[in-house]
Amino acid sequence: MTVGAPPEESYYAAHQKVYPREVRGVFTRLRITAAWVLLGLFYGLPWLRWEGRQAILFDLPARQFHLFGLTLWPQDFVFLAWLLVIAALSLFFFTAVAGRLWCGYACPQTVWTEVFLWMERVTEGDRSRRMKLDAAPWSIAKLGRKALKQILWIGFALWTGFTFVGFFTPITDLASRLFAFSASSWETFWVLFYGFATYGNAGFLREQVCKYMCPYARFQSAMFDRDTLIITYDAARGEPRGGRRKGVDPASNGLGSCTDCTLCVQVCPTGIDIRQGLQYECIACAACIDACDSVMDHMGYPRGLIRYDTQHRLEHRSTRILRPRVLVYGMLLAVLIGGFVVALALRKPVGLDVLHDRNTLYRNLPSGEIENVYLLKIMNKDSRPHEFRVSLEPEEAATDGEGSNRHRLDPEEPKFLVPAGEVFNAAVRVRRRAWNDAADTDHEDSGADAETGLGAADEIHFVITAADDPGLTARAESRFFAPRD
Amino acid sequence: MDDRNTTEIGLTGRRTLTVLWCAFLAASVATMLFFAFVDPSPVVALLRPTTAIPDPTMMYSLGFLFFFSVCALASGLTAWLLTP
Ligand code: SF4
Ligand code: SF4
Repeated sequence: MTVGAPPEESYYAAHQKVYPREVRGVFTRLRITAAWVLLGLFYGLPWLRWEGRQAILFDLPARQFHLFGLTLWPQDFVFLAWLLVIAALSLFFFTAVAGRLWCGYACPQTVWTEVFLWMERVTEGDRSRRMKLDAAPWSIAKLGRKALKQILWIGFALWTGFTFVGFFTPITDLASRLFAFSASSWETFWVLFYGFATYGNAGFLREQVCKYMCPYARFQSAMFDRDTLIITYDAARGEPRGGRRKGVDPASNGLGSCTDCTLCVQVCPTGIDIRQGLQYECIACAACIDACDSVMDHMGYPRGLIRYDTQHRLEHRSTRILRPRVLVYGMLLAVLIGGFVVALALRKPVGLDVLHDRNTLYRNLPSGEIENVYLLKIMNKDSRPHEFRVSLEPEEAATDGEGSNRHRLDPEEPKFLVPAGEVFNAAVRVRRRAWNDAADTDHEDSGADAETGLGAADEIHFVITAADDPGLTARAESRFFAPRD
Repeated sequence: MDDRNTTEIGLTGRRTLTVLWCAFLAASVATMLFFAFVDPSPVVALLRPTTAIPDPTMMYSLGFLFFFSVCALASGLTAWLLTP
């Protein structure tokens, strides 16, 4: 065949008239596997039980976050923030190594869009069928297909919303309430809200989210360099492109390997032509690699005209995966993850907050003593109950002769049994003799306000210790108020 | 993957959705930070005798919607003023 052969004689120009089939290949399989795993996790995890309760639950009313055996509290917020930093840094790391892996394989936008596309394919057929269907006048069959698609879409979207809410409120209860139509209006609202968002993003907007709305799509290029693995078309090998018969050696008619079949363009979910170079719309789904490889196989050419490669290698320069940027991201990531694990392991499963009684600063007792009342919030973050003993930390200026504390608890050693994973509110009284009575003058009156006569304040420290595990302690500071004398 | 037939949204649609989406992101962060430090249950307990507040879920929802509307207002105004 000569260069100037009429296009209809060439194999792929003819093939082009047939509507393209679905892509198949290594990367498509990988992508579908990833999608199954992620969807399975999302829809399955809320149903998983662990030690008698939902394994993963952001229990908002109780303000606890259950993660299998671990219970995190608002006080552990730093762990959540830490996790987010780790997630962001991993994104940087993977982007620097291999471009937009996230987009192609893990982004919920991609995953859910694939599901919605699949439902569309099932109900309305492939692209050509759908175009015909859309052009056709309304008929029972058309109505049926469209309605079926919408039912599938809406049902799936609602199920997604339901599952999402199920991460925040026990999902079995939620399910029974929803099916009995007795869910609270807010639960219903959130199910609908997330269902609607799913439908809008995956059914309606699709790749426009990536093109117009995604922050990651805009800044990911900052993490790229010429050693990043990206999806590339090897122009040196492919050009000049042109149709030819199967098995023709491209060199024999002055052509490159690209048969100009445009399959890579037809399979692209964002509708770009990868042969024009890397474009920001490309979500690195690798569909074009699979499409092109199938053509190369068919033609008997080596695969990889479109492939994962680095700019440097395409320019026939040396390329390194391990370069300073990757090493720095990788090291930071390792440190953060290591630190996270260590911090989590060392985390004390007990917490203490002390609130001074809001209504009365102090009381003068008939005995001549002054009394303050405190509310202790004892948090048992452990997975078993503990009895906690409350005490006051020994004071430095314990100067009332016997070497004991100036302040004392009443009763002397209150004990509270706190069930696993609960906060216990305990009121405790602290007393001390009045200043004139105590006959010592070295008290600090840091919090005192002479003008209002509010009085002096001493710092005191509460300590709680588990009766069955002396290592399990927490400490909190508060103030003891007394009249100014 | 060959079967796209997405309806293109117009420029106005694009703007609106981008504004809402950015507001959603910012509001989520704000809600998380806020409620990590503020426990709404005392407020619920305070209101419970007088109003029909069933649970703290309502406080969290209202908190989120509040942040969402403020953020949407800010990003909406920004988008609008930056329109040439
Ligand atoms: S561009 Fe954004 S929305 Fe699209 S797949 Fe990538 S991360 Fe997801
Ligand atoms: S060019 Fe299109 S098909 Fe190829 S990887 Fe990018 S988004 Fe996917």
